[in-house]
This record gives sequence, C-alpha cells and structure tokens, in this order.
Amino acid sequence: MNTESPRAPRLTVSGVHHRYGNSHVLRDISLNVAPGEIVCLVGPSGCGKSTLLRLIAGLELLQAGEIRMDADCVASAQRHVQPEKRNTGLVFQDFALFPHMSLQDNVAFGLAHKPRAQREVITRTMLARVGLADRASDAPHTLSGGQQQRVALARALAPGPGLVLLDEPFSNLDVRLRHRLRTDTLALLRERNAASILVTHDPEEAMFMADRIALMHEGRIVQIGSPAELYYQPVSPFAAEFFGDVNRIQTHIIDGHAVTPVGRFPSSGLAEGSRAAVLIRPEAITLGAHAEAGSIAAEIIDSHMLGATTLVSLQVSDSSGGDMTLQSQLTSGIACMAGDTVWLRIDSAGAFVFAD
Amino acid sequence: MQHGPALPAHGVAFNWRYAVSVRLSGGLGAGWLLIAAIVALLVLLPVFSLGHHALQGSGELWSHLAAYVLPQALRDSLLLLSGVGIMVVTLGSSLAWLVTAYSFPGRRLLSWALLLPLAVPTYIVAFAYLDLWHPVGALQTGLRGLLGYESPRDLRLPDIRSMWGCILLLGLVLYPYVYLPARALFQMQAGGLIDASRTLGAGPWRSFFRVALPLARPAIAVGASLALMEALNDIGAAEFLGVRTLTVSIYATWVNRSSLPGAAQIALFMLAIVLSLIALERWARRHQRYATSGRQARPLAAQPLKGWRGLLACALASVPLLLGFALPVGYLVVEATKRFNFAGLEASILRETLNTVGMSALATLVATALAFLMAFILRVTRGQAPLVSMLVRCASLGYAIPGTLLAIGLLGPLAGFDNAFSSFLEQSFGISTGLLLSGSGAALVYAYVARFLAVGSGSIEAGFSKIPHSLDDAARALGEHAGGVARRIHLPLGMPAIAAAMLLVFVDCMKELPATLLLRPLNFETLATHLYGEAARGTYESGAIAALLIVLAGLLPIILLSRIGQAPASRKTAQAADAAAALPDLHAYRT
Repeated sequence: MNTESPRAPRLTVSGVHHRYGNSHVLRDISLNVAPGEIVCLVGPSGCGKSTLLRLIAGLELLQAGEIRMDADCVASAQRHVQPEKRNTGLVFQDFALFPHMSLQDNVAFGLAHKPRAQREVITRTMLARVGLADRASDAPHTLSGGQQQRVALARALAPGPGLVLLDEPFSNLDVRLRHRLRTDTLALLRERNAASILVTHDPEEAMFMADRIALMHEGRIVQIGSPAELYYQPVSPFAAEFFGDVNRIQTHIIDGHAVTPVGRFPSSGLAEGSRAAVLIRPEAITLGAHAEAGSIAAEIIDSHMLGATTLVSLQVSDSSGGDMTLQSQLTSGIACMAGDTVWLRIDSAGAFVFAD
Repeated sequence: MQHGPALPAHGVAFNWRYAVSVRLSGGLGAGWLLIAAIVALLVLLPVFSLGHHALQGSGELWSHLAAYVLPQALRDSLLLLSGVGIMVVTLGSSLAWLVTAYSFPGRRLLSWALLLPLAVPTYIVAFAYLDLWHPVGALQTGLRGLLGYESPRDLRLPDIRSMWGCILLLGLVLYPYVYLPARALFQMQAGGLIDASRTLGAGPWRSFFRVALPLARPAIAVGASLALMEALNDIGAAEFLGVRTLTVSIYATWVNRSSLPGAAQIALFMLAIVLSLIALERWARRHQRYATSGRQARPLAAQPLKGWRGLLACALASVPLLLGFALPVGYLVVEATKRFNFAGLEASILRETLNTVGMSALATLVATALAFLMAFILRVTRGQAPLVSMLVRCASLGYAIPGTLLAIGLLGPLAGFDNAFSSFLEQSFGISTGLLLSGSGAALVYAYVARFLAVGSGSIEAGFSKIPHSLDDAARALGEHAGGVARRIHLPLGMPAIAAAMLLVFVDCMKELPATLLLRPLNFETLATHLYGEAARGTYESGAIAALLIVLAGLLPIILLSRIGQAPASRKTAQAADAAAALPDLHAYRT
C-alpha cells in the first residue's frame, strides 16, 4: 500500500490522538503530504476528518502526537504554534468571507505584512485568476455561491501558503456548479505547488480530486492510497462499501475459496471453513443473452435506466434451493424485460472476499 | 497500524499543565481567565460584603428587626411578588394571544404599542397615579362629573395607597416582560402546531389552552421572573404607596437607623428571593431552548374578528395601554406643560439632566467596554473552558441584584477603600483627600456597571452569535492574531449590537433609582432622585418634567425593540432588523 509520498513531505502528522470529553475522535493518526500533492480525507460524518483538519490548522489544541510543517514541529502536546503563524490557507464550507469587506479587502486580508504595492498586485492577480477582477470592490453578499467559493480560494491562496486545507469546499453548491468548480480548484491548487488536504464526505469527489485518499472511520485512517487502490483493493468491507454500492453474499471458505451461487472466489489468508463475505460491485456483473462457459443463469426482476448506465435487479437460484438477489450496473443498454432469463459473468477485479 | 492508547488521562506524552492553562484561556494566555475572574469578583463583591456585614450582627437592633420589621417586609414583598406575578402572566400572555391569533381593527398598532408601558419606570407610574387617583384629582372628579355625583363623599374609589394599588400599578408597567416573549413565541414558533391543532378540530380557545399556552410556558416564566426582579428592585412605588417591602425596609434601616449590619441582615432575605428568581429564570431558559430548537418557524395565521367582536377586542387590548402608558404619561405631559408655563425650565432641571446624562454616559462606556471584553473572551474560548464560561456568567448576574442590595453591599467596601486610601495619602504625603470613591460618583458608576453589565453583554453576545466562527478561523489562518480578530472582525460586524447595548445600558442607568439614592455624592441630584424627593415631599407637579424626560429616554429602546419580528423587505431593513434582533430578548431590556 502506498502510504508514503515519494517526495520530502511538506506536512507530517504522526501519532495524533484527540478526545472531546469521553469520545475518542481521533486515534493514532499518521499522514504526510508532499508539496504539490492533494490528499483527500474521506469518511462518513463524525469520523474525525474535520477535527484533524482543525488540528493541522492550529484551531484546536493538539493533545497527543505531533504535527510538522517541513522540518518544524508546529504542534505537539508541549507546543502550539498559533494558527496565524503556520502559513496555511484554509477554505471553509461556508466560505467565511468577511461580509463587511469588499472582495479585494478579503483577498488582501492575509497580506497585511506585505508592502502596499505588492499587496495590490497579488490581490489583483488572484482575483483575475478566479475571473472576478471586475468585481473587486463589490461586497461578498452580491456574489453567487460559486463566485464566493472562488473568492474564498483566492483569499486562502493569496499569501502563498505552503499547505492548503479545504473543508468540504463544494458542499454548499449545487451539483453542476460543484463539478465545474472541482476542475477549476484542482487546476489552481496544482499550479501553486502547495500541499493540499481536502476534506469531503463524497467518495466521487475524493476520487476526482485526490492524488491519494485517506479513508477515515471512527477516528482512524483505515486505508490510504491512490483512488484506484481504494476502489480496487479495499482493505475492509467498510472501505469497499464506502466507494460504491456492493452486492454482499455471506458464505464459508471451502478449499481456499469463498463459494457462492455465482462462483468461487479465491481467498488468501482465511481459515478453512471460516465465515466469509463476498462483496461484488454492481458494474463487475455483466450480462449475456446466451450461456457461455462459466456463466450463470439469472432471472431479471426489474431494470432501471439511469442515463449513462442501467441498473438491473437479478435473481439467482441458490444451491440450497433458495433465491438470491443481485444488482448489476450495465454501461450499455439492455434489451430485456422482467422475467427474461440472462447469463451473468463476474469480473473478479470487482469482487472482494473478507472474513465475516 | 498501532492501536495503543497514546492518550490516557495520565499519559506521558500529555502535558496537563500546558493543556489546562491553554484550554482554560482558549489559547490566549491565562490573562483572559484573570480578567474574567476580576470582573466577576467586582460584580459579586457587594453580595460577599453583604454576607460579611450581616454576620457581624446588628446587636439589639436584630431582635427589633426580627420581631417588627422583617415579618411585615417579607409578607409584603411576597404578597406583592405573587400579585404582580399573577397579573403580568395573565395580562401578558392573554394580550400576546389576542394580537397574534386574531386580527381586529388597530391590531398592528396595538401589537407594538402594548410595549410602551415598559418606558414608564415603576416609581413614575406610582408618582403619576398618586395625584391622578387623589380623591379630588382629575380621575375621580371626572368620574363623579360623569356619573352626576357632587362630592367626594358620595363616590370615592378605594385608596390607591395600598397593597392592591401597588400590585395593579406594577403589573400595568411590567406585563410587557411577559407579553414580548409570549408574542414572539406565538408568532414564530407555534404557527405550525396551532395550525395542526385547528385542523384537528380544536377551536381557538382549546388551541390556546392545550397547545399555545403550554408551549409558551418557559417563555412566560422567563418574562415573569424578569418582571418580578424588577418588582423586587422597585423602591419608589412601594414607598409612595405605603407598602413596606424588603427594599423599603432595607433603605429605611440604613437611612433612619444608620445600621449597615441591620440593613444587610434584611438584605440577605432579599437575596434568597433573588436566588430563587434566578433559578426560575435559568430553569425556564433551559426549557425554552428545548421548546424552540429545530422547529421550522412559521407565522401564525390570524383569525379575523368582524363587527362588534373586533371592536371589543380592540377596546380590551387598549385598556392596559391606556392605564399603563397613555394616562400616566398624558398626566405628566399636562403637568410638565403647566410647570413649564409657570416657571420655565428651572436651572435645577438642567443641572440634574446633565448629572444624569454624565453619570449614565460614563457608566455606559465602562459597561460596554467590559461587556465587549467578556463577550470576546467567551467567544474565543468557545465554551471549551468551563471555568471561564462560569466566571463570565457570574459577571452577568448583576441584573438580578436589586439596586438597594447592590448599594448596601457596596457601602462597606467603598468606605473601607476610601478611608484606607485617604489615610495612606495623609500619612505619606500629608495631603487630605475627601472620600475618593463615595464622594466623586465613582461609586455610582461602579454600581451601574455591576448592575447593567449583563444588559450590555447579553446584547453583544447575541450580536456575536450571528458572526460565524469560521470568520474567526479564517482571519487567524490568514495571519491575524486574536486581538486583531477582535478589532478587524468582531468590532465592525458587532457594531449594531454594540450600539444597541450602549443605548440599553444608558437608558437603564438614567432610570435607576434605588442605587442612585444610596450611592450618589452629597447634594448630587439626578432626574430620578429629584423626582423621588418631590414625591416624598408631596410636591408632585414639579417633578413632572423630570419624570417626562426619563419616560422619553425610555421610549428609545422600545422603538428599537419594536422592530423585532417585522419582516425585512429589503437588504437595508434586514440590517435594521439585525440590529434590533441583536437585542437578546427582555434579558437585555429592563426598566
């Protein structure tokens, strides 16, 4: 698993624990981010990802562990560098634009230490870069949500932070706008060569944005790696289910394989006879009109066209005489109706066996 | 991955002392904790000193007080509080229901005009009615003329100078404390539920008693506890109307018998009542939060009342306005005009106005600065520092402490400081100073600040709560330190709330009577003490101008207050509504 980034890290988080009262919100978190790299923290709400971001920014006090920026320790149980001294850029879910300041004053806020002329140049450049140069003296509330998000990003990037932290920066925007802004944001982050951490609960967003994804669950990082690694080599049922729907089949290990009505799946490291769960992604199930070697008969229960894909519910007969329902997601349209018999095949790259 | 518990409470890696000191102060240094502690201590100092004096004992006086003064004072105070409590709850909640659930001629006007009695302090309403209600005064003479009687012997209303008169008058000016929160709740929170109740077949009466009233109970209790604190604080009305409450007894024990321990002993009984009122308010506020949380606000649709029913509703709702505001203020206007035509604007009135404004302005500046500081400390620590939060809460308990109690508690420490300071100067430099704090009015400013700090911080905290915390975080991450965030973010964005706080504190200081009476420097008269002196001498009419000025000042916050709940039509009015909503609730608005 690729847990280390290849270059010298900009940010190093090691052994971080955090509690609020009795709840242990972060457990032994270690993570590093290289300059120019974008790491996405994903996980269900309450998994601790926002707390980790706040600890890195210095908005919460670190209780145990250590956070380093380049070679310097910025936070440990003994040391707390104030947030204003950490050279991080922060983009908030609600954008947090200062309502009483114009756009240019917002963007110039973090440039107070720079000479006036330079301040103006940077502010103008940044606003032009996000396409809002002509709105420089407008108030934030006159902007649309997408424009506010762009100003928030420009403001965070203006002081040239070594580390950019984005806390669900697109969640307040509608879907279409979200997709466009992802692309714009990605381009902007890339050209600044800053290390970036983006927090999101949206797995698709994480896969789109991230060089590496850190999946968090109940205060731990359960898996970290490239989007493809997380999608195709999940380390647990939770990881597999987080990045997409799965068909789940309960079974046992026989002869080193998890045996199911739809085939035998090799299982390494699981004890003979132990309980196992086979997780199959819907798009790994393909359908054919005719029987082929290794294909299995199934009856179509219903099908729903979702646009680019079609979702088909199938019924497969169990060896013990029972029935089992599976979901298949097909990229091509299918000319079949409920009640038809089809022949399914399973792509083993989309099927995972775990101890149950 | 290592799953070891690296964060046990006694882990080696965890530096408690560091964490505690930073946590307590929100990472700002222990200085903030210290400031909160000092302010809380200064506000509560009078209470501590009171206990100290009471424990010293008043010698033989105590047996006299316990036998002849205390039983009557306790009985009168409790009777008065019960009466006023029943009156403000009935009047306040029924009026609130009338103007929200029904539409009738004059409803819009009445809806805010019913707040006007708040502008009339208790001692002024009593002052006005003493003369109005006099057997040969305007009211009874007019009534006799109307009914065709000749002499006061034929028709004479009961004497207003009695317990029931005091309850009636206090209730008439204090009911808005219940009316305002109850109205807000009926308007905003109860809408959907009352609609549901109506569609389930409950008529307006049943909806009121089964749904609206239980829902509003916490809001009503908060309002009632504030009204009762005000009733307990009152000294003028009770004194003028001959009701010997605890407040009057404390004042008399100090002024007539010069016994600080004696006054302090009675004051301890008052403190017990204050504490139970605070407990009531806290309890109600907790339930209020629960009752109003997470519910979609939907305005209540009013039932139209047609024909004579509408006129009856209008007439009924006008009665408290008439008796609590129009009549006494009309009387003051008439008397003030007479006085002005007769004697012009006397120099004494000008001097007293300057005294009042000067003292109030000074106290307002200090109180607002401290309130800003406390609200800022609370915001920076974000409730994660229980000790700081507790100290800030303690610092805002002054609003519940009656002025008399506060003043009696302050007399000891002030005299102690003054004596120590002047003897120090005398011994060290041979200079003879007078009494520095008591003689200069600093004592008065101290008392005002202690009593009204909560009014200011309530308003500023409410304003701060509208500033998202992410703005603070953004400014910090962009390189601004904590103090800079206060200056560049909180100050400009909190300005409407700060301005509202200043207005509220200023007007409260202007109206304050009991603490002013006890703590003012010799021969220093404010409008309120002037009025008190005139009433005590029985020369009512010459106090009318002073009373009118106080009422006029008291109208300002009500105008601000009346903008709450009006639908913002544009950006501009939305900002105005924001400013008005920065008034936390009646907590900040007290007569």
